Amino acid sequence: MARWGMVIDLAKCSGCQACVVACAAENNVPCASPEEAGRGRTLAWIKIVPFIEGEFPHVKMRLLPLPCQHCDNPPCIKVCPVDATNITPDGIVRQIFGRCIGCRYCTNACPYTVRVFNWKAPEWPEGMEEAQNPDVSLRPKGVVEKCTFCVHRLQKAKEVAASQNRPLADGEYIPACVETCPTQAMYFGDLEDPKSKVKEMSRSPRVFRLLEELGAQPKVFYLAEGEWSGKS
Amino acid sequence: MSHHSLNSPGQAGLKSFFRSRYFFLGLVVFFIGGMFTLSRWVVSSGPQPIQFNHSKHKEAGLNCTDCHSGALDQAEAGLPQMSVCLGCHEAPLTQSKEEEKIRTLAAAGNELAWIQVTRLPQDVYFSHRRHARLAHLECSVCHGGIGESIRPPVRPAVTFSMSRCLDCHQKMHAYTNCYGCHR
Amino acid sequence: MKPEKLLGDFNRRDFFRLAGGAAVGTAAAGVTLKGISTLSHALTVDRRPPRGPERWVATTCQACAGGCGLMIRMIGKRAVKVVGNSNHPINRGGVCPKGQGLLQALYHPDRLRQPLWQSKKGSGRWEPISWDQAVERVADRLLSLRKAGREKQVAVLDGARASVSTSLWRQFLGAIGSPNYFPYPGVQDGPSLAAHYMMGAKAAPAYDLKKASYVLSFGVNLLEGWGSPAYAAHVFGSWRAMEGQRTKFVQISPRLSITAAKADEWVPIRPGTEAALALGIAHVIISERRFNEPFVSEQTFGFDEWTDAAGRKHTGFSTAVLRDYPPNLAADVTGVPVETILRLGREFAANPPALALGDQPGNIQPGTLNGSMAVLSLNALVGNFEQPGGVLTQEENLPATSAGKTASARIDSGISATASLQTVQSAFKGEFSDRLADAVLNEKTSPLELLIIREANPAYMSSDPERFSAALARIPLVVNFASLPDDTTEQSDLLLPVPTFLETQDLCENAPVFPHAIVGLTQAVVPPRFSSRSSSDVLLDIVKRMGSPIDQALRYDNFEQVLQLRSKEIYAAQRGNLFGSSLEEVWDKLLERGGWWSPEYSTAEELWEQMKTKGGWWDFTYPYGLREGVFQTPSRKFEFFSQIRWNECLAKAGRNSNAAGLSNAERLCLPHYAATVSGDDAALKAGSDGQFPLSLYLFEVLPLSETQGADLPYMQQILGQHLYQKWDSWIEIHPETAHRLGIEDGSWAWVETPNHKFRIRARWYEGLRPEVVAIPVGLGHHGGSRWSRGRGVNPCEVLAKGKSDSMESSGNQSPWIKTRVRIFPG
Repeated sequence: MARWGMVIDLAKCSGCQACVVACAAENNVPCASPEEAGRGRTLAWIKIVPFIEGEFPHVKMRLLPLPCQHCDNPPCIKVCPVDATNITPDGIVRQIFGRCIGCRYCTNACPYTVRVFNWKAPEWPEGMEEAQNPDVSLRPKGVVEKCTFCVHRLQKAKEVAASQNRPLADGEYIPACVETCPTQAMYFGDLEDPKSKVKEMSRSPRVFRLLEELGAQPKVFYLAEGEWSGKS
Repeated sequence: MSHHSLNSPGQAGLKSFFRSRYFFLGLVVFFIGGMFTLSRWVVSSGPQPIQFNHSKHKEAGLNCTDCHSGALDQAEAGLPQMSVCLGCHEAPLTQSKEEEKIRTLAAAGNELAWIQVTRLPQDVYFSHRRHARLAHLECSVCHGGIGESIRPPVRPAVTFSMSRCLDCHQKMHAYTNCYGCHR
Repeated sequence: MKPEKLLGDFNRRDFFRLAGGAAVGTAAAGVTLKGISTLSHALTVDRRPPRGPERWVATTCQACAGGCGLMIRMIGKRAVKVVGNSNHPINRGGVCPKGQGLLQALYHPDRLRQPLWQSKKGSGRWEPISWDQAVERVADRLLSLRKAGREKQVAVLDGARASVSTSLWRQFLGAIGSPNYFPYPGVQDGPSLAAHYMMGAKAAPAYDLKKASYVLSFGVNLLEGWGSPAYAAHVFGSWRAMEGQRTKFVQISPRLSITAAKADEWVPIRPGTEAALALGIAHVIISERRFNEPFVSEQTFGFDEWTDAAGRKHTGFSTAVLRDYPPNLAADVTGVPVETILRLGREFAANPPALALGDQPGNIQPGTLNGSMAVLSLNALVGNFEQPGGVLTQEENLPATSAGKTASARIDSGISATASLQTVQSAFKGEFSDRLADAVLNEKTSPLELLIIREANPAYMSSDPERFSAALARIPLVVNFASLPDDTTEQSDLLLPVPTFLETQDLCENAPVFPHAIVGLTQAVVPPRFSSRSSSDVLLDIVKRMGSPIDQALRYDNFEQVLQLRSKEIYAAQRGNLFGSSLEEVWDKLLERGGWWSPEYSTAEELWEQMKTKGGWWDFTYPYGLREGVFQTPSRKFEFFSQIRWNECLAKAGRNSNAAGLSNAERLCLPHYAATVSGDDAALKAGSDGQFPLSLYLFEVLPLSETQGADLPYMQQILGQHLYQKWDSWIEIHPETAHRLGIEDGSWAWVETPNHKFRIRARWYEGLRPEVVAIPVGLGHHGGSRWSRGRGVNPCEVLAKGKSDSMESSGNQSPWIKTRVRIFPG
């Protein structure tokens, strides 16, 4: 059984937010109106979180792309009273919209703040619904949603591979964020596959995981920004 | 009370006609009977662009996938585009007026505005490729006798329901977890 | 009730009653069924967009000049997703956020739907007209202008990127006899003009960024829209790929931009003092003799003292630098510590190939000439030209189309524009709009009779929107090809809806910064929406209507024919190949064939067809090496002292120019830092006691690069993620400065310049020099779509007025860096 995971190299990430827009476009995440956005109700399945440290001129700004961490021990599923969120055998934390009652226990339980609540029914400005992806459902008002690692792409990739009588190749299934990344800072694949690129990257000495001490065992690994060491 | 006195005998007769229990009995029995028997005629014609006959095409030796070309290799089986129809009907094969309609529409640069009758709720992810190509299911397993229809179908020949999906999934030992089908 | 009781007294009358009931019942059943059937059709109409088969179409992005290759995912007739073409040599599968937002532009609810005419500009009373009428109006006006011999008063302002369609418009202008082709936002910026003066280059320089070991960027927003954003990002990713030596990237800028934050080092500098820092670094390299001596002695001119043909002695670059820019002085001017300057100089010289980029900060801000000359001279000191990791010349494009060269800025028709229009034609980025307004308003009658605007919004970039609309009002006919309303469409007479590039066909040629010759095919992924028509097709209609002799010069049935002719020319060039799997693979194939040109196509038709699936063609080889003609200067060398500029100065000054004038010219021809006369530096150093103590710095963010993006909700949602800013403008203030002024983080503030006052949200930001405040460019549209109009402020409008001659003499005169403000709580 595969165990899907992601590596994000912060040294390569340029903070461009292509992943943010690609994710919204792929997953039919509606745009909040300016007013809604002002109330902090922008929906995003992946976001860039800034950390600004130090004082001028010694300021450092770090930009952290933050999707659902797809924890192996997800705190969110433990609090769901209706079993509307759970983890698949291949490690993807799913949300079943039809079951979700909108209690938002999971949004509070998630230490990574990656779950968002639909305060209103999804709206598409006239005409823009043409660009909706038929592979992803529209979430109704009152349910929680989050990154799925673009699991619909996994279903499709598996089918294509199976119909050609071959196993799924490394890199054949990647989420929209990884696919668009112009600096190729994101890696995605099977952490159980010793030959996969993502496995190799997750063994880097620069690797760390967010809030590891909480024991959620996230499957998104970050590579710390290294320092330049010149020969001069 | 003066209105009562103005009622003519004829009016009273008409009233008793409609108030009669026989009239009521006839009304109820034939309404219910009519609902069953008339449905074939009244609801027979949908707003499809062509009075399409599945059965004829089947007799001519065509397979479902000849026109619904995505059924094996895509999630969506698809409805035939104008170019697919013209592949055979560019020149008349029959005397049919409906056949002529295709060419008239094509000449005007129009596409065939088929109305899809088999639809699943939007939170269901269904892949034809998975069922037809990988599980080798015949189209009729889900679609029933739609291929035998002689008029354009206005509804699926078989009602789609989650329990029907699940029955089969259980029988075939396919997955039955929510996220396998629900997106 | 027993049956016999029920039917016992059943009589004839009852039978009729039963029959009547049956008839009504049957009829009612029929009606009900029909009703239910109709109702169920009505209720079950699928409100979801139609599904359909999935397919992918290759195309070339035209959202900016970058020229990335895209694959569009189609579901039936709908475009549903943008993905990068992994075989495309520019973006290698990556797509920037603007590319990801494209479908919102395609399916935008405010798209222009039909040709519109207003009898008075700005009245807003639009009258729908047919395409035939529109074509007729333009063609008739062109004919009457030609008849009156006033064809030179026709101009085309072209905001589209270099492509076959732009060359068609240039060809058209040539055919009617007008020299007025204005690329927008202006082709010139500091680096390209510096390359012209010091290298004799005709186009902006390209850079072999990927192979550089050390990159010193003087304010270039490398990761926020510069050149080709996805290419720059790809290069940045490769620097950090941890394979071999990691390239060091140093960002010199007054503000901690995203680029600066992601750089290995951020050097905060006073705005507008980049030239002083570059020359301070040059001082370190020269005084410590760290420069590339063989290159400097053999390939450069003007490093040491020299005497010209007229017997005049000229100062050498080294003498001037050693005399004027000792690091301590440079440190005083720039605010960069001496030890940093020393270290940067040493690192730059010790890490070949080292590249210096600058000093234009973005796509619309031009940078300065003196700054760019100073930066370019650093590259010359380390001899980093025409070698891997160095400054390259954009490889000479394919043989020019019959429609004229696409890369060069001026039309080669032999006709010259009137003096006033020449200043427009040579306008620098960001200054175009003001120059156009000057040219139109400063003469008794408008020098332009007909202005055709193609996908450009010059009104936004104007420092004075009212003056700009007055200028447009003076032009008798303004025709505007646009897909969305903007600030300029409202000031036009005739508004013609064009499709987005996802609905049109074109061939895009070359990309900024990218050194290889490249042609990307843009395909109509979906048919044109509404009644929009591509401007090239409309142009061919206009030409047909104009009749002989114009239709003889542009004898094409349709635009596709023009494109196919171009693909024949590409075929005939006998070089390059279709986009392949990877550069390495292509290279291996080339070697396998012993370097022989052997493409995957054997006829021009095959090339054209294959481009449709592969996305385009490129020449993957680059002839490194200081070959003949790299430096097209009088000395055929890199010129620290620009003789081209010297000759220009002499021509300007006339023969009997005085000594003072000549010594000033002498200064202009060498890279230099022009200390401002206004004493701004002094005010900055003294702790800002002046009336307008703060320096206004404008910056470009990627979602709004080239001032486009405000129309798209996707872009509005990610404007300033470093401060969680979205959907509105903001001003960044250093917390100390803000504290002193009593401005809370997130509160409203008034910003005042000598001529303007506006209110804006203030945000504290540590990543900023305390004497600088910063506002993003791209919001504050006066006209536009539902999401852009009236949202935020347009800082271009408050830039300090003045002669826009920033490129001519002193860089510090640029309105982009000399604007000063004061701020108080609002």
